[in-house]
Amino acid sequence: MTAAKGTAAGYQRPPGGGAISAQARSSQIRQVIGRMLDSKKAVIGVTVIVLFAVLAICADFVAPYGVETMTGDIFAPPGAKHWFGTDDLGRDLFSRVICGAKYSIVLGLGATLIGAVSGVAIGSVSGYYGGPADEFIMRCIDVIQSIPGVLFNMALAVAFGGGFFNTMLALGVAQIAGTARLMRSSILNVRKMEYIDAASSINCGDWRKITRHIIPNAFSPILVRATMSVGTVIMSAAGLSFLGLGLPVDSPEWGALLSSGRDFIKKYPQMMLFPGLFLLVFVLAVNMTGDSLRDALDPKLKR
Amino acid sequence: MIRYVFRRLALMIPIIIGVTVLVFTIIWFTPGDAAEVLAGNAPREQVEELRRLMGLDRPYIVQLGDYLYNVFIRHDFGKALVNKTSISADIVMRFPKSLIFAVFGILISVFAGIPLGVYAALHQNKTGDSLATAFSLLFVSTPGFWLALMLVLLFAYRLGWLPPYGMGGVEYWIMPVLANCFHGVAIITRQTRSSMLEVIRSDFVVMARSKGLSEGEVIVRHALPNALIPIIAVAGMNFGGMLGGGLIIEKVFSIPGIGNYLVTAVGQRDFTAVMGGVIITSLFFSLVMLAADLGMAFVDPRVKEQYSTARRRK
Repeated sequence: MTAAKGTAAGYQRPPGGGAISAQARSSQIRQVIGRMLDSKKAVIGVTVIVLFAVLAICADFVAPYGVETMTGDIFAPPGAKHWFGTDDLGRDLFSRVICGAKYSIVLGLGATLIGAVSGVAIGSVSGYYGGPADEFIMRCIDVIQSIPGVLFNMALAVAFGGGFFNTMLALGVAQIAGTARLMRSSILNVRKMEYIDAASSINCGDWRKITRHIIPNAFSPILVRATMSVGTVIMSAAGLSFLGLGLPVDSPEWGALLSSGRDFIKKYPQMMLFPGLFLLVFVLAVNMTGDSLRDALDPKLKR
Repeated sequence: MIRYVFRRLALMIPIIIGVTVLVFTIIWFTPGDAAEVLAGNAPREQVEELRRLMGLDRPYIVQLGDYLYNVFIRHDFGKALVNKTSISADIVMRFPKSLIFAVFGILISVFAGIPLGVYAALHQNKTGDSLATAFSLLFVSTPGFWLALMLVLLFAYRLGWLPPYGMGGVEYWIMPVLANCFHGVAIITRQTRSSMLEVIRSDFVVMARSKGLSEGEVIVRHALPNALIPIIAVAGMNFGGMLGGGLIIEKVFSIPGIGNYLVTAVGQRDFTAVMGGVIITSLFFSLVMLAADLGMAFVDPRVKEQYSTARRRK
């Protein structure tokens, strides 16, 4: 599948040639993008993500009220004046949910980036060099993965402490083990390919082999995982905030909004309904994109 | 096979010791310590005195050794800092609740997810498939605790059919189990669909059809067993996740299970209770994953063969 595709691309690539290899890769990327444009799922997913991103960036202009502005209208029901109603302090929920998008999206992207970069680095070293270093790293990963994910997230969140940056760090660190394992196994597949022998035979250094030949060819599972994990991280962050471990209850992050709305669920369900719906729709869009990305990168499954 | 089971059990020992060391280290780095929790707002000198009495001023490695000795040689997780109760006893008391919760969750997930996934795979790209895929995508993306609260809102507060939280008869279990299993059903449906799609085009399925077996027999006898391995892996993962991961849902419904215990302990900054709870849950998680591995060997002789030759599954 990916390996076979990689072989073709790898053979076309002369050892030092930038131009041809860039061309080969760009056409491959164009193919993948083309396949994604064909799928309705991808188009919907990406559109929703872009919409949310724009909403998050322009939150300050779009929001009809300030995040902390108390309008004096306590527990107003959803209506023309307050689209999603207001909360227990009279703050406009629509404005808060939109600003929450900023927190959740940055948190999801940041944590995924931390996890993916460290995981790829560790997994590549482990998979490429093998030997005692690999053995040690894998045993550590075994240990980490024996702790149920939610508990590990929770323990790290407690250790790092609350707040935006710490939560992002905790969730990012929690991602490392899984990414490293995936990267390692995909490196092990690529390492056996002939083009790696070819690279070795022309005296290509380890660093160059890893960065130019192995990682690009072993990357597609990581890309899919990273995409999906943006959604997972946002959900985990919301869960942590809901338990009072992530962001402070008063911040407009979606989980924190849900947490502060919990006490009023019986009488004023708007405080629970809308942040949750936004969370759901965004995670759904991320998963749709991830799904179709996987199909686009691995056409064997589809046709 | 029995030798293999024992070897796997023996291999779990270093893993659990590793988990203990890791959890202890994470807690070690957590700001604040047990003495501060116990002393409350007492003056500084008193906290220092307490810290010395509890041995918390000793170096990291000595305390770690002490903890390992207590857990693995004396089988004692110590006493909870806040409630002064034995952690092992607390957890033993709470564990059955979480177990019932997770067992029902996984049973529903498997018995709903596999048929749904098989159906979707057999009707690829038709309406039924699209519906099943959309359903599973939707519920994979739904945060469990939010779903739980929405169920409470609908069935308890609006319709008044079910009690909103607490413990008691069957009616108290319906919503928590439902909220917990939707995610599982969705994940298993997805996995079943994709691995069935891979299998269903294989030569041996064509062969089974061409020798005149009924469609049901082809699926049940030939296709499904071969698609089952990744499904078992995902189900095991899911069961383990439900065991420890239902914690927010347990909190929402006030189920006195292990998840609720952990959340409360974290809230009280009761570090010894958190350590004990996480370690015991990880132990059960590892046992469940082992059971899933054995299940794979049971359905697929190829995996069994791999076990007897390879030194270790990677």
